[in-house]
Amino acid sequence: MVLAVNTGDDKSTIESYWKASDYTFTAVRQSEGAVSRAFGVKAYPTNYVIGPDGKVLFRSVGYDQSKIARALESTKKKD
Amino acid sequence: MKTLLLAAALAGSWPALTDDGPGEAAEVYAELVRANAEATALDIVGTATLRYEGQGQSILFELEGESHVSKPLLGWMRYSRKADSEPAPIYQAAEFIADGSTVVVLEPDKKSYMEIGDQWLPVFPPVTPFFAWTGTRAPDVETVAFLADEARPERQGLLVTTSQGTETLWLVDKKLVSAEIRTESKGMRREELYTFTRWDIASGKIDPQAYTRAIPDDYEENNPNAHLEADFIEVGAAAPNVTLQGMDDALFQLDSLRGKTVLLNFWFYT
Repeated sequence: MVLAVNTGDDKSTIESYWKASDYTFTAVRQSEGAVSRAFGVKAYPTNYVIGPDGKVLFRSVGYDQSKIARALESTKKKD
Repeated sequence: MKTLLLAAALAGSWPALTDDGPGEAAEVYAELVRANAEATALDIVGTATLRYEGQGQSILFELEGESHVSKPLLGWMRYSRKADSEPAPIYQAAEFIADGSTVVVLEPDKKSYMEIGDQWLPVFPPVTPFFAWTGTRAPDVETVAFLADEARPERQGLLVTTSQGTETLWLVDKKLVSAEIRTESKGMRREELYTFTRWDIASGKIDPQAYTRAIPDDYEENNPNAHLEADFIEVGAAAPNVTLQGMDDALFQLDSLRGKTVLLNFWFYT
């Protein structure tokens, strides 16, 4: 499951952006940046992969899709 | 009345470049230095669009110049991001004010392009907002060093090391004696104002402590979530059970997704 956690945009901005995009994953919001802070996010994009047991499997900052893809692939094999 | 870089670019007098190699780049830079040295005021220069390439994606900035009729505040440029190709913008609006000069800001080794007519021309030095940091927290300035290249006297600047990396601020007009840099953080109501003073271009020396930094007094009270600040969650540690809100407004806990693998992607649009 992919959740795109937005920081600081209002709902209509996210909605219109999502409408204009072809994303099949879900945009979610957070209150006052609390989620970003809880995860220590200081730069964007930051990605976390969280395993079925709720533990962090992988994290990255910046654009490196291949690493994320590998991390996701590795969880698939475990499932 | 002379106008600056942007106006020249819009008028089509910007030298046409075919690449950003060092030879042509030096010419462009020299022209920029000349234009700035002769400028006594900045006209309203309209808008241009600048495409920035970095970190594997290209981003469009709208660039605006504004009119200031007297020194020492010559002008400022404002960059605002324009939706382009990717969902997660990495640069937020930045504003830079320089005393006595318009300062061109850049990051080495990254390419910038300016749209002139229907052409995209590379710009050297690459122009980018000085404070291109993003994040929930404004970076702390750790050291400031003076940069000078004897072989290329037109290239002087400040190398600013922060808690989030290193940025280079190049100076165009040697008369610059102070600069104010404002950072605004995303997601946290924090603003820091850095004022660089007491540095001597002639000797090439700068006092690393020669800046003051201000944090608004009401920072803590404006930030009720300050206690939630944390560093990155280590791999292998439990993810915090945060509350998220769907586009349908429904709230849910991250822990409710136990049993699934979840990719959390943190992003913002503006």
